[in-house]
Amino acid sequence: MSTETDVPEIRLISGVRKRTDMLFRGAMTVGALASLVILALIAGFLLFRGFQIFADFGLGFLTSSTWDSGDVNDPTTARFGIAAMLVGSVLIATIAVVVAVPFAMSAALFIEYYAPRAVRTVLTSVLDLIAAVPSVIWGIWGYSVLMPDAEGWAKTLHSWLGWFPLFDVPAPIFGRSPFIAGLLLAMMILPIVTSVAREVYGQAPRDHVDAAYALGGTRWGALRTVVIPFGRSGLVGGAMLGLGRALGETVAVFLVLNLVFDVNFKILASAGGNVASLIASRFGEASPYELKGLMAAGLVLFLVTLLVNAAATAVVKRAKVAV
Amino acid sequence: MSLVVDGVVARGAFSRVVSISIEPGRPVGLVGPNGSGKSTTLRAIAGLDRLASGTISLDGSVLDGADAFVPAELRGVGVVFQTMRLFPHLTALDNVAFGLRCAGASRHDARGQARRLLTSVGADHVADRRPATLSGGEAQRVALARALAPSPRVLLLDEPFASVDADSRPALRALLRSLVVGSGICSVIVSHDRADISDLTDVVVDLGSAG
Repeated sequence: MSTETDVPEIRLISGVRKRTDMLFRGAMTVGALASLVILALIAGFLLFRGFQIFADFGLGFLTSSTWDSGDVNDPTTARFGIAAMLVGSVLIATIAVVVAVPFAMSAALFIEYYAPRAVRTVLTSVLDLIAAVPSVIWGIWGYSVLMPDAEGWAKTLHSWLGWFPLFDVPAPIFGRSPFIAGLLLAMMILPIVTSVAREVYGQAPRDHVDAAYALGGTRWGALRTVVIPFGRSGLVGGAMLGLGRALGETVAVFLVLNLVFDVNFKILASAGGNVASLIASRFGEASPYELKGLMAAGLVLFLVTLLVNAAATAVVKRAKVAV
Repeated sequence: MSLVVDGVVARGAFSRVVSISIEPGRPVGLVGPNGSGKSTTLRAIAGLDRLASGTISLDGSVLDGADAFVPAELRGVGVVFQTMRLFPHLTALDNVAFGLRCAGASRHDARGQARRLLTSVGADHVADRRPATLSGGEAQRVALARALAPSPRVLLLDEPFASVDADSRPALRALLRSLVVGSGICSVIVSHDRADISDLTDVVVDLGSAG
């Protein structure tokens, strides 16, 4: 039996936001803007400290490969250009992504769709653990364990594919090459790319996977037809995240790469460049003027990384539209 | 050849005893309110879920039982889902060719066969279009062709016309009836629409109240 008290009161709709709503909205806005402000501050700081270099060398700073601090008391004798380092950074990061993505993709598919639950838990924990290894440890491991083996792989690659300029070498020295630095970076970015790939593959629509099975599709058929295309944009995003990290990696690369101020596209040769490693190697003993050069190099690296991330966002958006 | 389901279908906390026998060329309609286990029964027949107990057998061989379970991809079952679930990144033609490719047909042969099937369901004009650009009726025809493509031994249809407007339904019903009866396969149709059940099925199984 209903009584008058069962009838709810008429709810008034007001256009005025509640105080708690406004507080929450404000807190979220500040949080969202904080990252932009921090980014702008970093860019501003680097520009402020490195501006003189851009003014002195102009575009030459990006196109020249000379890095000569000259006479400490006479900055006019200094010559700074980061072309070799920039090309090296992109080359090594590209090798890392090319090597890491297929492994990450396979690992993610195995963990999500093939591994028994217990194995999945262990593998996920191991990957998280690998992500937490400091880069200096990676560098030491890369130098003492990976490099001796990787030199052999490089020799094999050279003997098979040496006719192709990318795999040619000016002298038969295969240590501390962009190839080895790229392999090391590939292992370093593997956890993050795998983690992102696992996340997106795990979200593939179960309905469509079932549909594939119900049409006679094998597990591989379902993965190939449903899961991999569905996760394509996410995988690109993960690869770009990895690329971003690879571009900025410093210590590990510094330990396994022979820094040479010449633009070099021969990935097996014992000569390469890396902007972050350049900064790490020169920072301690740089003159005030060279320090400005390093700040300018940092700004260029910062902008390249931003550009890569912006490109990743665009690629992800396009891939989403296509699927 | 007949399909026999005799056991308990279950999904989550829900379970229901189901006992039905489906003869070739005599479509069975599953009716009942929401939650009565119609779709769960279809999933069990398709091999997407296991029976809690009992058996499903096709022509005497056990597909699901205490000691045997034939996975979905090996059952030779075609399914038309309520939401159709066409693969969004493939064209209509490649959607239909999917099952044939899985069965080992070459790309060329699978596409040729898929095109013939699309023609038979009156959807050849959408062969090169992606599912997102199809109307409900067109998508339904493609889904039907896709389910029939690998020549299934059993055809399962879950609310096959849920996304189709009322005007297009009679023609699709007639098409489906001719394909199902003509092919002489075992088929089960779940629908809330009485017209679907009366026009398409020869036997009706009422699963009764919600579980």
